[in-house]
Amino acid sequence: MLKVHYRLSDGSSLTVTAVPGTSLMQLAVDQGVPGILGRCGGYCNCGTCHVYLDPAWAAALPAPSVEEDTLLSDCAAERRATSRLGCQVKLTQELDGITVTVPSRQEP
Amino acid sequence: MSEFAAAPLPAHVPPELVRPFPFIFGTDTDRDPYNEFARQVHQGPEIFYALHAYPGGTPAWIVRRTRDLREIYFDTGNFSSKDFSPFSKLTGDTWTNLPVEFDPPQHGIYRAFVNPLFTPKAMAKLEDSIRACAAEFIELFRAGGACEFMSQFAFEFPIKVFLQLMGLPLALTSQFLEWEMGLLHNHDLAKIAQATRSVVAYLRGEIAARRAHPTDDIISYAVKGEIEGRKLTDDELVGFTFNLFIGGLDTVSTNMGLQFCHLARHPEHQRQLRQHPDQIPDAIDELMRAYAAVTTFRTCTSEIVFKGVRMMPGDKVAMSTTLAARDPEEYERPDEVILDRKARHVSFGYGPHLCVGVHLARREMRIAMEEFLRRVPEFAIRPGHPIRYHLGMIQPVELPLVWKPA
Repeated sequence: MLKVHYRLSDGSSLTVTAVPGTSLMQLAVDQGVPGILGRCGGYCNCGTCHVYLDPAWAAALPAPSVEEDTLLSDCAAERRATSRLGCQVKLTQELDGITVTVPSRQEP
Repeated sequence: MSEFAAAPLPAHVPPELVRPFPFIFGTDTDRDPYNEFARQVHQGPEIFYALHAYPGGTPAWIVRRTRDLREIYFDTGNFSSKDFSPFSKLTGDTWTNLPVEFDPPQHGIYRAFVNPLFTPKAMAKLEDSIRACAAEFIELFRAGGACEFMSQFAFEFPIKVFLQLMGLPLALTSQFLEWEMGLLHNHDLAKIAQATRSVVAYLRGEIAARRAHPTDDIISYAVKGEIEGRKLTDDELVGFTFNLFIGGLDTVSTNMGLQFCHLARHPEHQRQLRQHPDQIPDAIDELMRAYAAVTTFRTCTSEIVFKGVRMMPGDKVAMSTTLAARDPEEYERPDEVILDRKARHVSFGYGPHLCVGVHLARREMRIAMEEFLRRVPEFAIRPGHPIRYHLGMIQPVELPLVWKPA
């Protein structure tokens, strides 16, 4: 089991417990974390599971695929260096304690 | 005498699972497809076999649980999207709608090619032009205190937006509507074939024109673009453009018709959204949930047992988002429209084939609602007019609205 902290756009924070293997998007959807839509269910299609990783964690992950990278530039909220699509970030034990910030919008 | 009644049931289909599917493609009803038909179906088995479910009157398994639709949408290995659209076969042609009729892994390659055209940011660029378009339609009938919403707004507004997006002449609006009706509101196979030929001939002309003189528009993107290091073939270019044509016109019209039908019947919701237009995006989602209109199909490719039901290769499965919309195990009080419900739904599909036009469609619907509520006072359905619905895709046949004239 591992812990994930979601920082919401209203400033509040939600900590949820995850089983390794789920994605940041699926965990948010399953646990009712607001602000992450994941309309396509995790197929890197819709750009509605955009999150900002805390910089310390961002470096620890493999780089996005070309498809993810393309969509990240066109999400509703501005792209930052720490932007990722939540559906493409698989949680492993090494990511225990990761903090992600939920952008203010997923759909313009 | 119906030949279907005489045809023997396939051996693997238990007779007790044979039940009627109320949404018979190509028919009309004045009954309520949601509060009556869907509700009735949800009182029966979770999966059943309907003899006349598939267009043309052939059988299909009907799945009604939202979670089961999600599972099948994801399970592309056992449930294929191949060949679910009849158009090129009807004309003896070889193109395939892409990406909708492909399965992974080829699907992903095509979908990654199309996705950049319809991203949240790309569609945000259309805000002003979509708003101007909506306003233009509304101003034509606002002062008169009445409109037939389908023919005076819902059908043509998405076509105009589509033509602008594709860089095609707006003067083609009525031609596109005629083709759309021929392809999608028709059960005469010869007429569907004729409409298909006309649309494909037109699209081939536009493709050729952009080969000769490429611009920045969507057809040029496909002509100039590459997949797996090569240009798209003629068939792929037709499949790409035809998929866009059939994907985003009638579906948007139908959802707008159903949404405005609801608002016309629920003045309290009109009042709420007039006072709080910032609530419109969530309202659109809830209305799309409650009035899910589209049923697509999958074909089973293996012998499998799905939720206790044996399915064989070749079996059709109806993905009725209309039924999933009212699943009492998924939604509390499913027949109640709660504008800030914010629940997840499958009205745009789910999984790899999630509607690529989702951001465009939601924008069109939001702007239509914003502009209509801003410009038109409280409206109702013309008294004494019962609403009839096309079935297949659920669509109001006519929606006469009335309000206090200016």
